[in-house]
Amino acid sequence: MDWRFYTPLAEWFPCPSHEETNPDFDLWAFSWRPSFHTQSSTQNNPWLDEISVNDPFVYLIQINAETGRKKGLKDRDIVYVENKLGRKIKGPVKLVEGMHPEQLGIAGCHGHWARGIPIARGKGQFFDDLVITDKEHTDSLTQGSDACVKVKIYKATGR
Amino acid sequence: MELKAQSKWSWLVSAYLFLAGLGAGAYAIGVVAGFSGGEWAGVSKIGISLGFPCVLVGCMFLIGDLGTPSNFWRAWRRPNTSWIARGTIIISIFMVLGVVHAAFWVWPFHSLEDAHGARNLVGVLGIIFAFGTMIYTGILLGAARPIAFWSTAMLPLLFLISALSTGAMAVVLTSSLTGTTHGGPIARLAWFDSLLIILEILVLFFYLQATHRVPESRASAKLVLTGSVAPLFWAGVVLVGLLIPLVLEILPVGAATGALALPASVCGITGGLFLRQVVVSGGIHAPLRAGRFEIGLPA
Amino acid sequence: MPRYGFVIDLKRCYGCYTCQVVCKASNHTPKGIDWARCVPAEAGQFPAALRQMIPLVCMQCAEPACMEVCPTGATLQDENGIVTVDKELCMGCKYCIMACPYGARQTVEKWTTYFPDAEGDLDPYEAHAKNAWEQKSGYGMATKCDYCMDRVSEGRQPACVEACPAKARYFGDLEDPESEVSILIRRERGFQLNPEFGTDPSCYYLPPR
Repeated sequence: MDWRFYTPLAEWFPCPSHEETNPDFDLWAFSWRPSFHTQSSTQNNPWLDEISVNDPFVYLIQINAETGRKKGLKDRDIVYVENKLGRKIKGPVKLVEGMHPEQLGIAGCHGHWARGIPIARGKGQFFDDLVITDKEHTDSLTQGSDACVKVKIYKATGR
Repeated sequence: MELKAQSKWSWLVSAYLFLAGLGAGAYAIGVVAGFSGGEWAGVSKIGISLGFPCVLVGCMFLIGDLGTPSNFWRAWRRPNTSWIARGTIIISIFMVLGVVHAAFWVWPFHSLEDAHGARNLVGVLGIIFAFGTMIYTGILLGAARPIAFWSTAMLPLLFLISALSTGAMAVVLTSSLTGTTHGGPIARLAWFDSLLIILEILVLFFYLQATHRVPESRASAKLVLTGSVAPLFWAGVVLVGLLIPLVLEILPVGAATGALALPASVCGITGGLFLRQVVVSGGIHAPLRAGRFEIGLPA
Repeated sequence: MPRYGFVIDLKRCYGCYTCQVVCKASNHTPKGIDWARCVPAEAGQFPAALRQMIPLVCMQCAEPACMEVCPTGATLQDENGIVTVDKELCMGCKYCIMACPYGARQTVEKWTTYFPDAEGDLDPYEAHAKNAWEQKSGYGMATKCDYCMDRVSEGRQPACVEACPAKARYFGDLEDPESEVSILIRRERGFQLNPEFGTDPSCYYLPPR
């Protein structure tokens, strides 16, 4: 039984992502909420999809522009984002200034695949594919998942 | 900031600009050849006869591009401010003059074939409106002031030279296909066209060089030289439209016998169409500036 | 005669796209046409980067470039400064789309359903929107924001102004020095986008100070 987290006062404990030593996995992936989408239900709304398609951030994987340039990426390149277990997601990348150089942002609750929601299907990326769910990555007190993941990003070269 | 090219005008508009220029150019060359007389009579007849049909077909393409084609006849209504309205009037007058001029060779007007005075008058008027047609195609694009790639004085000049060049090559092509004239005049017309091509290359170079001034024209130049329009530009305009005809026309065997005139003219003519399409598809609006923020126009 | 104008406060705007969607709902614009649009912008470099949403409407310019280039005379300006398109006269040459510096004019060729996989006729809501659109405008012709003149003539505000949750949009008479829009422009140093094109737009922006 792991009693480490049962402290009387609130303390910050680093999640396993902070202890990642492999330098290949240099980016922190996190999910963010577009202000006009709600949970996983609004992605099939045609009007919201119409705005999301033209919004440069919602359906794209955001990374810092300098980081992206160092990795040889440019806007709208198709990339793979992979976690250390080899789970990966694919999508177009967007180089932005409003992102920390070590961060990678994906709009959460997108990436639907069900045929019954044709407007949402295939748009955006499914962030939860990167989240690792095992005992090590779950808070023993609250059952919360560690929602930040260390990932690596590379261009999808037609493989 | 993503600057995207305009997407509303494409091949149909380019075909219209190209054919209007070609027809007017061929007509202008035909009239000048007619004034020279003698052995140029055949060339003159071909050039003048090409004027009206080419411009008419061009207008068909333009009407095909309209969102509400049934309203096309209203296009002349605002000549005080609109270059499309002015162009409609100029082209309509040119087409009428082109028909009248070509009619002199056609039954039942054969009797007027020797009415040189009348023919020359029509020719002079026609040449004025032919030049108007060739130049206005460039000015009309330039009236879209936010598109820096188009709103430059070099564009009407480029289109004028291209129109004269494609017009000359259309005359050469028609002559080769119908076997009506060969040798002297055609070979000299091909030589004259090679001068036009050299001039066109120079003007094209200066036109592209001038795009460095503002970000939207730089983005246009980048799109045309290294972006998605680059294959059409380098292969279609530079290689097929300019270099191949130039080389074929100045080669001694080509210049003397006109044997290479056919491939040279086919290449040059298609190059003229590609040039219009490159310019039209490279048009990018100026970014909007709100203080420190810049945005490209939304798609 | 009032000259109607907009003021959009960039500090209050937080980029929720409400104006874009409400305009669509209120004016029944088809897929591919948005009379009010929001474009996100970034400035600066990390760590001093800023993000700002820039909402766009038709600027109803005092010297409209679209009216200048329209060959058929379909584009006219009424006495309140609103630039109108007569759907019977427009031939769809798209010259105005090229000439407008603000991208305010759009055109579609037909009604595209939002549910292409659905079989059968349009659902009743989309059918209603399609009918309403065909009354107001049509296909193959230029359309643009009209400052909701039908609402304004009833004494209401344009749909996007009323709906903005941040209260970032204002509508009023630019000729009246005591109107809310005039006071805001003076007090907060309102500016126009790209005044160098010389069209004198009627939509002013307050700086994101």
